[in-house]
Parts: sequence; structure tokens; C-alpha cells
Amino acid sequence: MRTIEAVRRSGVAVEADRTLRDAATVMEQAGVGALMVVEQGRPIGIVTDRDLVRRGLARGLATNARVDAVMSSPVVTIDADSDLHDAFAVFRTNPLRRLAVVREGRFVGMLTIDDLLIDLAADLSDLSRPLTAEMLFAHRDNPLPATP
Amino acid sequence: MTAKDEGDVMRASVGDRIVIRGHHIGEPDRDCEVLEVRGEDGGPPYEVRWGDSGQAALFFPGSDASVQHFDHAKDERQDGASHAND
Repeated sequence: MRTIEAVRRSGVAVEADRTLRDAATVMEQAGVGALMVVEQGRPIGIVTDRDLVRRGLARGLATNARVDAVMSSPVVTIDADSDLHDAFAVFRTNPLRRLAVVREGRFVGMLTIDDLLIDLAADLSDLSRPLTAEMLFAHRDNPLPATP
Repeated sequence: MTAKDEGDVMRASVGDRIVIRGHHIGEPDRDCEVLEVRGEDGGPPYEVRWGDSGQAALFFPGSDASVQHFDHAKDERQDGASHAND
């Protein structure tokens, strides 16, 4: 499975010169908790609602401060066409919850640990279904073939 | 049409509406208007405007998004006809 196929939620991005107020409004309107910050389409940082509070409000930044003042940078990326197992490996080896998915260096989507957990849960459910049926319902042996 | 149709690529035009379905029970669907198509042949990303806030952002559709196309040429023809009748 390609990494891009595991991206469930749409990604939202803003340019680095947008303000904290703009970022907060976009998050609210789009229903997302994180925005990719891009420059010429390339991801240069990520800003979360938590960043707005801890690095912005808590430090007394004005609401018209630039969003790149509070973003996390650099961004860990993964190629859109790479195998999903590669994304698992990145999450395993980095303390991340979100991964920027890129194609030729340009941002195309955001993969979250939530996306992977949903896929894993669905796979586990599919695997356990026949076992559950076997436990709940009487086990039926196939009849032995008639002996001549 | 969802983002996963036609080989994963959404196609949209300026003025189209993109709907993002809610992810949790009770979470409403959200929608935005396409202001500019930044990709090739109507592909993403799109510069969109969210609701009434007037805030624009770049949008990269996932499998939760679908596009509602509008016949812009038809709308313009109808507008022209209505103005002609004024």
C-alpha cells in the first residue's frame, strides 16, 4: 500500500507570512488541529493549535505575529508513493504524530498516527471476524465421505 | 466525486464547492469554495475560502473530501439573460 492511500483527512496549508489569528481561524473553519506551513508549495514547518497556545499566547505574541514564529521546523517528510511500511518506520523512530507527505518535494497531504490506527483496527476486525463466528456458533465438522 | 476517484486525483474548477465530511459522530460536514486551482488540469492544491470568515488557505484533498461541480457557463448565461430582461 502506498503512503498517500493511507491519508484519510484532507490537508490544509498556509503561507509563512500569515498571522496567528489567520491560522487559528483557518483551523476552526477547516476543523483541523494542525496546518502545514509552505513556501512555494514546499513544507517548511508545521503549526498546531497547541503551538498557538504555548508558543504564541503564553509568550505574549500578538495575534498579528507571523505563523512561522511559532511553527515547528524542520518538517519530517515521506514520499507519497513510498510503501506504508516506511511511514511506520518513521513514526517508530521519531517522536511524531504527523508526517508531511510530499511528491517531488511538494506537500500533498498529512499522514497522522490516527490514520494508521484506523487502518490497523479495520484490519484486526477483519481478521478476528471468522474467529469470533467460530466461537459464537456451533462448530460444524464437514461430514466424512461415505465409505464404499 | 471523491479524491480517490480517477486515480486519486480530484478535479475542480474555480467556484466549485468542496465538502469535507465530519470525522466524528455529531461533527458537521464542512465546506469551502475553490478560489484558485494551483495544480494542473484542475488538480490540487486549491486555494479555498472557508465559510463566511473570508480566510483563505491551501487545500489538499484526502479521501474525506468530495467536490460539487457547478456549470459556470450555464450560470453566466442565466445571469446574462436575467440582466437582459431588466
